[in-house]
Amino acid sequence: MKAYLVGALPRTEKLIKAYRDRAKNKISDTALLSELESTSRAYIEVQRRNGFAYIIDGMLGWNDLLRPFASSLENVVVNGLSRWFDNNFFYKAPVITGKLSLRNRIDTSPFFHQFIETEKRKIVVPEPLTFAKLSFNKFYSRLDDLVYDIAQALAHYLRQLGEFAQVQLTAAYLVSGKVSSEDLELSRSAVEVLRKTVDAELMLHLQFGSAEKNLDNFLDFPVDVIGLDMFKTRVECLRGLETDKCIFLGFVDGRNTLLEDAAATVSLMKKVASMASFGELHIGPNCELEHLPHEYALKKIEVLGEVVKLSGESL
Amino acid sequence: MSKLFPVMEVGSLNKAPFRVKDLARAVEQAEKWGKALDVENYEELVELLRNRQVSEDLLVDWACIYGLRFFESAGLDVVYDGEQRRVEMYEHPLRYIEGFEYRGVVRVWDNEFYRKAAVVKRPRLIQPYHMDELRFNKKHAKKPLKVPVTSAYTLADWSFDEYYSKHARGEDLAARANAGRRDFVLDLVEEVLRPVVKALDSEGVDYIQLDEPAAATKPHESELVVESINETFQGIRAKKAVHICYTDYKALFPALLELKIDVLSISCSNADTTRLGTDPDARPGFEVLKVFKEYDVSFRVAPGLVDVHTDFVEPPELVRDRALYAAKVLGDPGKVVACNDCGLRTRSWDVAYQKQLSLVRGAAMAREMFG
Repeated sequence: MKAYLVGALPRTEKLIKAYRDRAKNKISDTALLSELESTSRAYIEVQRRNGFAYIIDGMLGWNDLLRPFASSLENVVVNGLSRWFDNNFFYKAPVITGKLSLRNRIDTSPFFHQFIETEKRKIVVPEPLTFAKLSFNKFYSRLDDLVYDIAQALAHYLRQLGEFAQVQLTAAYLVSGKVSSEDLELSRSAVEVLRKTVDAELMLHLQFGSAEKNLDNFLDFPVDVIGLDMFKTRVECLRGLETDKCIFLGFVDGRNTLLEDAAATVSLMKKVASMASFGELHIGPNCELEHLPHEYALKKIEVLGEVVKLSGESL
Repeated sequence: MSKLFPVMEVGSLNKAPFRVKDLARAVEQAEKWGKALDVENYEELVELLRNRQVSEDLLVDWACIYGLRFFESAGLDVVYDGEQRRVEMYEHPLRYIEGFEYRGVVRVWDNEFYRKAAVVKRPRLIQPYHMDELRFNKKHAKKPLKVPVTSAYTLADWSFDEYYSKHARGEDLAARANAGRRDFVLDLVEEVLRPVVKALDSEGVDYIQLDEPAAATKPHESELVVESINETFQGIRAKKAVHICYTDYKALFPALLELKIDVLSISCSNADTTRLGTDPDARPGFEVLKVFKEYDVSFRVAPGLVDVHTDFVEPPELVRDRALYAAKVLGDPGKVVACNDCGLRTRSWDVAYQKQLSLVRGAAMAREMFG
């Protein structure tokens, strides 16, 4: 059993203030970076203390999931606010104005992976079709050309960022209810591009929607872990599941402050383990914890830590 | 309102420009706008400001009067005070509702955050809100009033749920989350919104507007959105308006067909061009009206003819063309109410006032086209 996070953590009030002060020129870039670094280190430590198998740096310098990668691409500008799926949170949509390629020098300032040991280091990036669907395409006449170019650029991007133990592709579009069978096939082929180049455990995380309808298709994706949002996907739909892949169960709600009971969560995990056959059971939040206030994100991490302890004794 | 293209505002205005710390500026602004808006006895305010004799409460009262005159003197048909007494559309109502506790700040985009509360028990109305505000405005308004109220669905969507999903039955988390959601929204309607709207209605107001910015956040809940609005408005004598902005309106159909209201105001100009013309190429922001026509909605539509997110002041001719195009798409000029995209809170009073003058003039020009 492994526990880990699946996306950005919330900025602390101190860090929010540092960003505001920087915008007003009250503090220097160095002072902001120093605050970012110390907050990232604190989040890394809390994940380590709670026994997480993979650790993220908190993604505190990311304004949204798409931004660091979008800002590293030629012929892309970010513009206008768009709703992040069914949340009261907005991202800036990439506007694609020409053929995509990775810039010669990418901006690595929002990353603090160097403080995480390589065998636990995890990065979260958008799945290529999700990135394409959330962008405004003003150049490509064919969706598949766009998606393959995103996948190629993403592969280069990940290589430049260094070594990771797990690479997560956040694929919320695939469970948004708008996906066609052609979309699924296109996404699968694009993930294949990444599979060939990424030397790490690869996870497809399906958040904000139910994976039930297309679960069989998702199991065909060339990834090692399938992540499910269990606040959208029924437990019952996993009955009889047979796969060698690992299954990640998002049993901790990243969008609500109500704290889960660790013992009840372990009991649900046991239920899934008894009704399905899969490689390994992974657990964590259903989505990024940045939709919670800082203190509640910490509490959720502690709930997961408790689940790790309890399941170590009983699973 | 039987005239074609009647003109309404949506709600908020920036704080009255005399509500500043700099005394000299406060005096200057109170004088400037007092004259411009023809505010009766504005000299009293100027004198009070000059002598530092004005309390915060009195200053807000004056701000409401200036807010009313702002819209009235620009020539709008239905007005309000620019929400001069309110802090913000989420925190303001929560002051009057028991059952919520603030949990901290959460991000909306980039480094913008809002204070988010959790419902911790069944909500209970402490006392109907917006009442003093409405009474005051009724005393001072010279035109019909429309009072804006944040809807139940939006209050629920912008809050955490530590009560309903906890008490929902069953082991399955997905089922529990869904069941809890519906109870949360409908309890807010029953315990809070309906009593508030009833109390406002009993004061005698021309329009009550439910503000529903979260309406299309979760398209699978659009039926719940509509049900909650209809339930809130049950038995209300005032005309019923709903404001939904910056969203994918198509996602709300066909549920919107069940909406039992008089006017739905939506944002269009933010996605439009500033070119003159009544052809589809010039008016992409208004294409969304086609779906309203296709479904033949029973209520009137108030498309935003003015973009509230830019200082560009739309010439009246542009407002006219947008109104005419809306009428063409809806197939009936009687279906169109002239409106802003949203509240004008983000614009200075100078820009906002010019925009309102243009809105009124543009609507009049469109009206003339129909004799």
